[in-house]
Amino acid sequence: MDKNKEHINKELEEIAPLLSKMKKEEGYKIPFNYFEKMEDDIMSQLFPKEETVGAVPQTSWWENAIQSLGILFRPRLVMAVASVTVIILAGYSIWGNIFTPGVDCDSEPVACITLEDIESYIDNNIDDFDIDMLAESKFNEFSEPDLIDIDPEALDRYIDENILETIDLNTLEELL
Amino acid sequence: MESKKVNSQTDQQILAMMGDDRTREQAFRLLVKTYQERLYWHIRRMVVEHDDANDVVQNTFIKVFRSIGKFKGDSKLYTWLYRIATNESITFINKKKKVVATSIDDEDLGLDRALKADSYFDGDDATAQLKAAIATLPEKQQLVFNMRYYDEMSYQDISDVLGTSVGALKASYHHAAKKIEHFLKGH
Repeated sequence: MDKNKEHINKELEEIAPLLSKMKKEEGYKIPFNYFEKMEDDIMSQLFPKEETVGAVPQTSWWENAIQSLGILFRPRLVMAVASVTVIILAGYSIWGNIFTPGVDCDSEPVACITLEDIESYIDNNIDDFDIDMLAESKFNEFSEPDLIDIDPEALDRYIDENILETIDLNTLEELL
Repeated sequence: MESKKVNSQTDQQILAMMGDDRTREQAFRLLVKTYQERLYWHIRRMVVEHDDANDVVQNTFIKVFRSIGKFKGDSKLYTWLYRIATNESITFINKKKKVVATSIDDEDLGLDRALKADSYFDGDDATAQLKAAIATLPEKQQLVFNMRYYDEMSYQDISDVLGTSVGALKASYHHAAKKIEHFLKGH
């Protein structure tokens, strides 16, 4: 028995003789293997392992770069970029031809592209263009004099040939 | 009752390893392994129920981990740990008192019977009575008595934990032991 313990027992005997004779026990129980488990519980809270649920998988910088570039290859974005490029080229060719009539087509072929070339390209590759963008550009293409100059008979003929033959009866009733 | 004696060499080793990122986890595991039982029993005597003690001891170790960098080594490592555990237990008890709207007298009168019915208590009648007697003491006297009687701590170490003078602690322990003796004689 060490000195401190001996001193404590002697002190208690003097103050509380009945208490000093009692068996010193906790009386409380703990679950089986509690302390072994407690150590792991505390450590797992403070040092969570990578494979725990919800952990983000590790990827290399190369995989991250490829993933970031992937956005550039989305079909809708490619279509939009292609359409904008064609319009820019068309604008450049029209205004370029007007303001630079004496340009050399061998050294600057883009400057020599005509409006007909562009329309032909669009017709041949119509499936590659964004529908909304084409509709918008076609709408802008028509100027008011164009609409005024339409012959009414030609318009009726066009409607008979292209619309009335294909339109659904119910839809026609709704329109009328 | 199991009482692990820890030499200061273990404490020095733990503190040295905690300062190095490569050995930090290993050091803290050693700290938990070394002190978990002593801190658990210190907390359990205050909060009584096992589930409460489990929560408080876990919070204590998390707090220890976060603030061990502030430990300057002016006192023993274990008295610093006891101080954190004591504060956590008192905070918990105060919170619980606000939630449970029962008077302390009602709790104390039924404690020996409640303990006998508790599946986590396997002590005999005398032990249950002693626990009930301790529960009648003011909080500070309970702390002093438990640390001296069960943990067999020196007055100086208790002083480091509670920040009370050694003389005041001797008086407090004396009063506590007398009251318990009186309670046991009366039952």
